[in-house]
Amino acid sequence: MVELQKQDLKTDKRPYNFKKRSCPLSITGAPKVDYKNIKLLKRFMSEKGKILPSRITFVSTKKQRELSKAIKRARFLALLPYVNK
Amino acid sequence: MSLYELVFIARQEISPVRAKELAKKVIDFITTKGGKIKKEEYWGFKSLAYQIKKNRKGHYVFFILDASGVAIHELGSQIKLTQDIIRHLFIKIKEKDFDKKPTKMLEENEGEDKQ
Repeated sequence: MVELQKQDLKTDKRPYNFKKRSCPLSITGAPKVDYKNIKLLKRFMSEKGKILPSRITFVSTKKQRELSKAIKRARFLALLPYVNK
Repeated sequence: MSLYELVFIARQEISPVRAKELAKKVIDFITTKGGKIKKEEYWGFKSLAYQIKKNRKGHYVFFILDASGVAIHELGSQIKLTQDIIRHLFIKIKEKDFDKKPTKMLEENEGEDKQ
């Protein structure tokens, strides 16, 4: 395993094929981020009800801002919980 | 005149008929102030994610209104005085964001009914 990595370093290649993931909300045909679309919002929240960081979900900065606003609106209307105990 | 979304949650003790009466009050208020109702939806008797004023469930009513800022402000203070409404939210939306199709909420409700 170590040898493999050394070889890869020599050839200036990454040991694994890291595919660059693009933002799931920016592709064409992606659903609109809206506080009424609870199913979509839930995909970007942890089980405890926290908003997942974009470094995990790969959401772009712009969409993450929209997302956090939408989630906070949905929370205010008791459509989503502030905390899941 | 600009577009606003309004969602309000009515108390759990009242009947759906009374919730619809509340909705009608909103419509009457806006029309007398010279505004228009673009969309009206009754999302149903849904359970809340957390308790609001000891309510575990509530009637959700949704509107898209075309009205002046003054009218919306007055409507807001009217709603605050209505004891049957436990929470409301106004959101100003852009003209291009207006969609004639029913919102996602209604689709989910229909799905629930089928189960």
